Amino acid sequence: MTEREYNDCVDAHADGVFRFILKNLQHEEDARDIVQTAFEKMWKNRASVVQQTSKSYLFTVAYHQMIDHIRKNKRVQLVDTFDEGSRVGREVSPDLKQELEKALQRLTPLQKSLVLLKDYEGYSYEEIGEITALNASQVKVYLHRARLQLKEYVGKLENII
Amino acid sequence: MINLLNYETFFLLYADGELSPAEQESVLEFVKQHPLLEEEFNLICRLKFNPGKDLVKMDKSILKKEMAEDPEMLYVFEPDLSITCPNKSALYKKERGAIVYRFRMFAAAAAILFSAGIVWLVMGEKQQDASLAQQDISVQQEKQLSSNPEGAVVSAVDAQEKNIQHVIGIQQVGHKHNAVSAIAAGVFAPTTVATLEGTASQLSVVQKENIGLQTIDNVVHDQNPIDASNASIVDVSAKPSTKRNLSEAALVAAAERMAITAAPMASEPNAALLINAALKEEKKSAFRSILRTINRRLLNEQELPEDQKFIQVANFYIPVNK
Repeated sequence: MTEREYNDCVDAHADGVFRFILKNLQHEEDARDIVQTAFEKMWKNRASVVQQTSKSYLFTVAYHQMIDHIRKNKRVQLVDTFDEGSRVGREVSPDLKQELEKALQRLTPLQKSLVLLKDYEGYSYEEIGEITALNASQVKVYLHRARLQLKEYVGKLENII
Repeated sequence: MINLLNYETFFLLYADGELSPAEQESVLEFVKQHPLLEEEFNLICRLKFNPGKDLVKMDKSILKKEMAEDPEMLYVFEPDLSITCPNKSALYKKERGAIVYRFRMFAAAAAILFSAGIVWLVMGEKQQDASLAQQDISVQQEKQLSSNPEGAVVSAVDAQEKNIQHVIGIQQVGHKHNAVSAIAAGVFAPTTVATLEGTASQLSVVQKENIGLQTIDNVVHDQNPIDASNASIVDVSAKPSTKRNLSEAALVAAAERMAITAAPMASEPNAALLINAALKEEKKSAFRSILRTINRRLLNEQELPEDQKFIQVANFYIPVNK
């Protein structure tokens, strides 16, 4: 990969990687650091990286950097299940999008990454598996569980509404 | 195939875009058939995050690298094709060619030596065969002569023995000159009796067919033996065109010498031995015979002088000194 090709990759994928990390971490500075680290790593290994596969390379590096950051800082409180008590007294918003965002934050980092990679970037099960070091069947099962949880949360919320 | 047990999985796959067009159509058909599931289907399809409204951009300037000048583009050298290597021919390697050339020389020398060895062996075998045959003949002749001193030497080996008998007989009668001719004819080739009325073409053909220095095996047994007593002096001028064989003349002279030096046959039991020795001497070298053959063929073109007289013996004309 030449310098010109590297700069082209910055223009093409920097926003997408940043958006992905920001949605996961909900912290702009941390997301910027992770994105910058991912691009630096690609620059160091530019001899072995081709432009066609630079996007998956960036997302893979950024995802693992994000997981390491989460485990190190434990800034995000992980909630695996949604119970009735957590939703009682909560402010109900008719905006489904906002509810989805809130529901998204209740997923695990892996589930959240799977949902965002699928909805934001349009990756297939196999491509997501390459980024997250999972096989296609695992991606399918984890993603379906995440969507069912989102559906359950939003469904009950709508019922309440 | 979608059914009430697995519809939720198909709904999620439809929301993820992992179904084929045919499968998507079947899911939609299933939802139409089950209206109660339509609300759940619509909710799952809405649980997708669209990045359009969440478009967040990052300052890329901190990520980009400065486009430094490509060092490969700064210094570009082009080869000067006018510069050539002097004395390039001296750089060529010849070792392989020399080896091949030497091998060919050795191979040729080996082939020549091998051929010479084969020829030598063959010639040696022929000489041995001839010597063995001569020895057998001499032994048999001695036996027969001891029992019949006046008898002619009869050998069952080849037709040449018949000629020798005639030679002996001729000498007994006293026709030495004819005996010389008969010896020459017997030495060189027994042929059919030529007639005086033979044309030039027949003569040349016969001479070509009867090469006098061939081996004894070329004798035609069914031919008439040479009758030297009927030999006559033939005037060359009567013949339209003739061919002379100088080698025959030389050999005739040798035969004449043998006849002169030889004792009368009638009382000489070793005449056959002498003749055999003469034959052996004449046939000593196969190489000489080949030369004679070649010489004869080359000299066949020469015309005989008109004033020269010849004795006709079969197809051969022996010159006669006046």
